[in-house]
Amino acid sequence: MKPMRYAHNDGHTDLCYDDSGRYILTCGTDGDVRIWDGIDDDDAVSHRVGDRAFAIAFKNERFFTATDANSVQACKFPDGMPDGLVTRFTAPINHMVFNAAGSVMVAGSSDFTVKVVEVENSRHKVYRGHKAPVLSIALDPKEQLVASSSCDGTVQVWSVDDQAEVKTLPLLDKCSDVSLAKSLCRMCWSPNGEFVFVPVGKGIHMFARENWELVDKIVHDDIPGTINVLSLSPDGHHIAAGCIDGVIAVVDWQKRKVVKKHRHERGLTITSLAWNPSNKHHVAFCDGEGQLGLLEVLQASSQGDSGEPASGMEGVFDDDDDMLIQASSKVMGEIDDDDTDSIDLGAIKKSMMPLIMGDDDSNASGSVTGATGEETEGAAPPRPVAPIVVEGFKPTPLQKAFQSGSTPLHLSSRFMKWNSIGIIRQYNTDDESSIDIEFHDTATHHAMHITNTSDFTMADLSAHAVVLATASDEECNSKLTCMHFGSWDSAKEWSVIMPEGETVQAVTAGEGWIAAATSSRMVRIFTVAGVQRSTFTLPGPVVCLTAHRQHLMAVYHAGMGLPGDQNLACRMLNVKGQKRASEETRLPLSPKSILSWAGFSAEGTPFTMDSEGVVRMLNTCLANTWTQVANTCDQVKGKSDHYWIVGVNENPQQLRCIPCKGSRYPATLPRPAVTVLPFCVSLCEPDSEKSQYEEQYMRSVVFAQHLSRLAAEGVELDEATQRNMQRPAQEALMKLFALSVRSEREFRAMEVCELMPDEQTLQLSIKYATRQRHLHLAQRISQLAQQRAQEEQQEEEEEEEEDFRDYLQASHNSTETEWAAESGQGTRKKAVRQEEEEEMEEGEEEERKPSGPMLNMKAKEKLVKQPSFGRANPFKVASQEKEVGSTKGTQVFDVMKKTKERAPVISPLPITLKQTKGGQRKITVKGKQAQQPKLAFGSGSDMTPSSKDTVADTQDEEQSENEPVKKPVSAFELWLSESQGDLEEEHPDLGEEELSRAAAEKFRALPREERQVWLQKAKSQPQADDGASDKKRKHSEEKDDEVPPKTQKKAPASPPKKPLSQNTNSKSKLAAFAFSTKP
Amino acid sequence: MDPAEVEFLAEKENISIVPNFALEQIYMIGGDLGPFNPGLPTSVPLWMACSLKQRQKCRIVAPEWMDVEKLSDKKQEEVDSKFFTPMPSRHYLEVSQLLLQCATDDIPRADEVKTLIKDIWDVRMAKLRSSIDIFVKSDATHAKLNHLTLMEINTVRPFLTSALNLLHDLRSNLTAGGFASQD
Repeated sequence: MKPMRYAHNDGHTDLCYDDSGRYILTCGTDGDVRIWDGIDDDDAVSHRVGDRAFAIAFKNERFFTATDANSVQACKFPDGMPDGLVTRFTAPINHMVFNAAGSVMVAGSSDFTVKVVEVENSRHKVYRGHKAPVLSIALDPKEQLVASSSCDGTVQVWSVDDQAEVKTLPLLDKCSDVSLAKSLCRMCWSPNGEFVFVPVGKGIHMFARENWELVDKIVHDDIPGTINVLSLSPDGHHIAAGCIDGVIAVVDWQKRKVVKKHRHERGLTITSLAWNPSNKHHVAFCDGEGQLGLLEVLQASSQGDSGEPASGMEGVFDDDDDMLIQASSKVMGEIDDDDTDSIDLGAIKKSMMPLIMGDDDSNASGSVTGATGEETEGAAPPRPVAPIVVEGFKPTPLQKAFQSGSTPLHLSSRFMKWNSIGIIRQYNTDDESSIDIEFHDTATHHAMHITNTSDFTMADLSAHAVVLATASDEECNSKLTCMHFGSWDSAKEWSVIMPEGETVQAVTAGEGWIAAATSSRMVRIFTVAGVQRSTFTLPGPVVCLTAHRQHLMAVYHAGMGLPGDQNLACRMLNVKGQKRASEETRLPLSPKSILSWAGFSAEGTPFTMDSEGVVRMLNTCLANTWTQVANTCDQVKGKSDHYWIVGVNENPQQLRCIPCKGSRYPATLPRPAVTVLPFCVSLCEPDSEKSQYEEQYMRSVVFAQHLSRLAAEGVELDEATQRNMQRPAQEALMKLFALSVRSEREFRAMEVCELMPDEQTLQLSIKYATRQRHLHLAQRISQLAQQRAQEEQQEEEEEEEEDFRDYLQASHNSTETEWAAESGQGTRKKAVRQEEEEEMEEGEEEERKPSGPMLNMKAKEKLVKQPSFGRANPFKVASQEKEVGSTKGTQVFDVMKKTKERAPVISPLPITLKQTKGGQRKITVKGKQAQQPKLAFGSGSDMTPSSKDTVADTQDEEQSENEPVKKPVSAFELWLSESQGDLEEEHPDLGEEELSRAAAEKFRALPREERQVWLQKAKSQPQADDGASDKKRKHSEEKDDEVPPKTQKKAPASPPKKPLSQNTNSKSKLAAFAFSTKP
Repeated sequence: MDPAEVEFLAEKENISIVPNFALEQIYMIGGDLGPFNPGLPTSVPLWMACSLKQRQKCRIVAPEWMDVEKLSDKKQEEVDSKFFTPMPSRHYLEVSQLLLQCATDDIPRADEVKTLIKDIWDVRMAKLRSSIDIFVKSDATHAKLNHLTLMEINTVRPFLTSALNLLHDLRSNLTAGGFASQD
């Protein structure tokens, strides 16, 4: 039993099935008729029939409603077009029934009369006799008699032909109005007209036709309340009785047995009941608050008759049918092509089940009862045996082509497109046919309003152009129009007519080009000004096209899907480059769903959403697979609410959606508001701490992948953005590591360590593990770090050898990227190389011209940046990696401090450079220093298990002695301490930096012998302040370090300048922290 | 405090706007605002929303409570209740006043909203006046009123406090020289 669902406002609600049993029609006090495609239909079609509707009936593809206009109105099904008045009364009509053929209608009204109306010609007979409003009507199956119940407390039986009263039975309580009546007293006749069933109080009274005597009273404990409505099942065996206290009992009237009982969850009055004409197991009902429910009689009836072998068979066939239906996919043939509705298998199955079910039941019961010789067969009236229809395989209807971000075509005001650039709305009413184009950013263009004379139905919008297209009809061919508002000449618009018989099905606008997919499976690519650039053919009918910059994604049908599924494929290609062949990928969808949105994120990664609300993105990290990154259905408030996606951003991670209450798409008015949903990679146990960190890690990795792609496309990204994108991943790893360590999962912790990209985090992990007394783990991590370091060293060596070649290659590669190919100049490469050579000779060039040199600059930057991706550059690795790691790592632990009692002690890097001002060279020094302990560590690699404690110990020592690192005092420092006073006198105007520089120069200028003296002194002295030594080292490096001129030249120009000072600060801060917490 | 001051405070209330321009995050003393993405709602103080709206740089998203159904419910609740009911916003009058002035086109059924706000205000002011009346007449020394908004308090404060002072003076005079009243 499914929960009740809202259908109408409070008050009397009536319902009926259509002839096929697929649709349920309801009407209520709100004056609407709703057509439900099965009980699960979230998108019932409403037709307004009046201010109130009292009764509804369905016959011959028309439905009839009794409204507050005191008339019975016929409407066509399913479009609800009025189809004439059937009859009129002087007061509201309370009930109406039809004969089986639908030619005669009988209605009872509050004006005390009953009318029998011939539907075709509206001829009617009036039956007067009741002294109060007529409650309900029942027409005898032989169409000779009519029973009517009334508020005057009587049930009268009339003869149809001579309008005479046959019998009056005073059975009911008297009242003055329908609304005061205790019971609606809906009656029914037995299948052959032999008996009439009248609900009287808690019992069902059976009156015989021949003498109108009470034959029997069906009273049962399961019917505790006053019965309101009765309804006979289509096979005539069962009567469903709905009570005013919410109980529905299904009674086998021949055996006087209740086979199914259901109690309304809120005990509301059952106002109407209807059996599904094609499925004898479904009873739909409405309650007094306008809710609709569906009762399945099936299981209970088989339980109730469990003594009989037949019922056992029922269950067996039941299962088979299910499988049969699924296998044959017959269901799919029934599906409406309405592209907005999802395919609801359940509803369809329900509607199709009875056909097959019915046969099986009759066959089964027939044969089985024959064998057991029970008397049930005799009592059951012969049922019409439906012809066995052998259905072949029916394929799932193919999803129609659509524009991403548009609402259905049949709406009179709809969105043709909503994307990150703007909104295109279409108004298509009788008096107005126009298109409104509005831009989110008014800087792009002002809003436009055009009259839609050509009847455009498809549109897309980019920052430079609007593309509109029409489908073809009998008179004119399909037309594509482009409004190139970004053009600098005065001709802003151009159109092109498609060839005969070819109609545009999808359009999209990219950067400087537009594309249209046609019914002949062609994709035609135009430049934005109208040059036909290229065409290609898709392997299947197009579903949608979408564009981002120079990338085109075409989604199309790759073949026939599994039953209920679509089989979609997509192809990504570069419209301008055309060099890189892109393979076709299959587009995964949730089971039984269709694609509802496809597009690129602002960063250019393809995303899709299907009708189940699942958002997926193309994951290039995992071999171009599609990863689910969000499920919008998890976020909705109500069951029938949906999100309508309008855009995706990867940095920051935003899923921009419009919440739609009770529908799949928004209305144009009131203007919908965009909300931002978070992404969430779907993992097991999403609430556990571990999964949350894992989710964070996975998500940030997946969402950071666009960085490398953008880099490959030659887009410059600033360092800070990149770091910001990568930081969450590292944080998550650190937390996950800490969590694993705390929960004694050393192997898992080790695995986490293997995911850590740089030594800095590894070092921190070692510290943390040591602190938590996981010495074995710490040792293993240090082995890993050491292994990494060795690999790195090897790479460095290789790199050094290949350095020059690499350099050329790098520039070479960069010219091959798309943006370079875009310009299409063959001479570019040469120019680049020339420039480079020039540069190498001339040294740093300050002024650069816009064209050639620009490229050159990029090429170089690529080379410089390379290590950050590939960890390959011999010169950059140490400094850059370090600094990235340190900021991240330490910050993570800063955060972790809060959660843990014992904060880990931070790395033993000798950071004492705070007092000297930040600069590039200095960092290089620090990097080297930082590396030293690790490398030394690496050299002492013959660590046996017995020495593992010492490993930890040395590290602890290192930590505790962090600040005053023991270091031999240099000769220069000794000399400096002696002669500092003199120097200051000599250069009173110099700052500390310059002073030390001058000092260094002076020291150098000293005669050799004198220096020797100082050196001797230095050797004899055990140690000194290391800050000074640092300075010295810095300077000596500045002077002596003869790195290849190239890097020396480039190092200062390279980006990572900014974060350094920050980095130093955080390090020193942490160092101070470590110092203060020294045990 | 005069109404202008209260309005000034009300302008600090945050409200959601949909900008039609792009701008990085801006850093203000009161907090960071933005970043502004065209088409994406963002929350800004009312003063900024009004200023942007006047320059046609944004669309204002009407606050959730500024809705005819909700306000009529609120009004009914206010009418039915003997006491003051909590208001959806501490500055409902000022906010709606400002929004209805500068962003009429962004508020659905602005006229009805305006009437409803005015009605609620009137109901509450009537309640306030009657309670002051009772308070003064009953010679009570103190009274407690919950859920009054700043604007409402400030409409009665100047008068009420001075009136009470005067009353106090008169009373003390009365007790000091009893025969004065005889004259």
